Amino acid sequence: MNSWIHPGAILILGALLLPLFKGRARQGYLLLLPALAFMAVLGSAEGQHGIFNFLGQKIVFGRVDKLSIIFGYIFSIAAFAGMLFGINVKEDGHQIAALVYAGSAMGAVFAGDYLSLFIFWEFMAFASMFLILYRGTKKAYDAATRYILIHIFGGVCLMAGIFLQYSTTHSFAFNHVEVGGAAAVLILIGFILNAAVPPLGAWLADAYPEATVSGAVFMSAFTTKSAVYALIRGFAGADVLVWLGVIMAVYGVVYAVLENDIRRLLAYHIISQVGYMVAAVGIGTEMAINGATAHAFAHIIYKGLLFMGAGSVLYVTGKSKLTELGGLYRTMPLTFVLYMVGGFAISSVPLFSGFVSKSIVVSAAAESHLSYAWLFLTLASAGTFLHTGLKLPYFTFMGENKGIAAKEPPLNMLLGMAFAAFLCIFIGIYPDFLYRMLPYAIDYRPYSAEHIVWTSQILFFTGLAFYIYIKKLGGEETISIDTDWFYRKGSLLFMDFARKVVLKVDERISNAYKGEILEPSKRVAANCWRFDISFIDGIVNGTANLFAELSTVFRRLQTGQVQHYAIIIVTGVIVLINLLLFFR
Amino acid sequence: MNEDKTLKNNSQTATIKIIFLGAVLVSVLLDLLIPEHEPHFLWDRIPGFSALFGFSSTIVIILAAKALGRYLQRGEDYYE
Repeated sequence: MNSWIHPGAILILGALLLPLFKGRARQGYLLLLPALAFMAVLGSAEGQHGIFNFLGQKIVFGRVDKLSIIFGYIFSIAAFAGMLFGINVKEDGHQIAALVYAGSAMGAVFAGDYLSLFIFWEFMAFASMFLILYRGTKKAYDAATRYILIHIFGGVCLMAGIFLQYSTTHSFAFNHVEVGGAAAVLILIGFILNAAVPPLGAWLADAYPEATVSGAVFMSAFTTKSAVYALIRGFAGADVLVWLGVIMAVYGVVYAVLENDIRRLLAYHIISQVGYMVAAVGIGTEMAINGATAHAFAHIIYKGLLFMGAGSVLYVTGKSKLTELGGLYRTMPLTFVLYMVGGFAISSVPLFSGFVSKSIVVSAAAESHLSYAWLFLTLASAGTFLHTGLKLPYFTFMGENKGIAAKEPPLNMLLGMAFAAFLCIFIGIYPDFLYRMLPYAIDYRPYSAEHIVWTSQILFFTGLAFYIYIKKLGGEETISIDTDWFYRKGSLLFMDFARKVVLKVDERISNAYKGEILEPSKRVAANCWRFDISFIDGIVNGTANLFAELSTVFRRLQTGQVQHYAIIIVTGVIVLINLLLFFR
Repeated sequence: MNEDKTLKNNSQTATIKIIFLGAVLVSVLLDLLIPEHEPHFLWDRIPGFSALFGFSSTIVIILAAKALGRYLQRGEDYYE
């Protein structure tokens, strides 16, 4: 019991020792930490660990049950895959930020009370901010600033909710929250902001594409999925989440149609995929919670893989726009194939991981007879395949050969992708591996003839529609405005408007001021000025001249003998006192 | 030489098209053969529903997004 080691602490504290390692040892150490964190999860016994008393409150760092364990597993796997992919990043600060970020996400998952949850929640935001900053561009700097500000806003909402809740319950225990009441709403806002639920989710598509190549891989895993975890803990069965989730799922694919930047397109698909999880949390049945968890698990791996693929393209070519890419399968065949594994997994092609996880969510909607939710989630499913499985790879790797000089990325990046791709296929072929870890017992067989035929029809006919509309689907050199418009442009327009109105008012006031106050005071000032020149300046200049002359005298008195200095000081003091009395 | 390559590419594309269309047909035909288990919704009884739904969903997404794009899309330097 006492021997429980916090898996997140391994990453966070371990990261701080990173500067001690160099070369090969550093690489080994970077991979060792996530592996050790995984072992720590593996060795965690269910129950409560790491309990402290803080100001009379029980702080629980280790709530270990089936739900936190499966998130612990996937977070340590994601940290390992991301580290393998990004091990060639030289800056220690970047690697430390990535590890602290992953460790904090695990801290949030194992937190049994709101206080420790909140601490890790904020650590996540600040650590991940550095993964954007390390990109080193002006755009990244601006995006990171917006990113941290919006997360601070979310954090403040969460904190306000926590303390408001405490004022009625006198407890910081983090358990199921009944919707209704300001406290619950504030906590919910804090959670859904991190889950990127619109209209609070624009930060995701704004920030992730500006992050570093490996930073975006990390970011795609932790923030939204730890929020899904928090929603499962706090708000399972909250009806509002069904609709928010469905809106997210559709919203993500609609924006993806318009997107030109490949990593931003993938970012919109994170929002869409997290929509399935949020909707499942809202449905709240055991099957739905299993679905949300399983889909989070599968999603972290394939989305990491997709970001690795798109990141590799950016890393090698320096380009990330569909309009600038094309024909890369010739020079980057391995990257292409590995990306496609992720593309098939997210599109829930049979034998890939998404097929065995997303279908639980969709089936849970069917079992709860939520027909509209079912229809929209299925529609979003078609949209997912359309973009991540067809449009993005077609216009990046196939399509028009733009003759871009490219080669495969470094070995460690390929290995990171291969590791993630292996898991996508392994889970797809052997779903019981995933199902056994789920929080509730599950009796679900994804590979029924009916389900396979049903899915292939959706996929094939999406492909057919893609083929028909292919000319309309190429990238366009545009960006799309999202709800971040309100703080990126709206505030400026507001300022502009305010400036114009304020300017008018200001002008009136200053005109009146000019006529009635300024002119008379100018005349007074002119008189004062004359007085100043002739009288005050006379005194000042006279004094200055006096001191200038005195100083030439005193300069000659520099004898180096202490008693002389003493006399000079005493004389000086007397002169000063006299001057003061004279000018008083 | 160049012409040969295009010719080969064209015949390859044609083969891919035939395989693809064949798979599309097979997926619909199989639907007729496999009996539905415990249908949840009305449309679960319609054979080929998911084919139709997948096809129309895609088109709806593309057209709806393109229509919205008129209001949402801006030049790349919009925020600068």
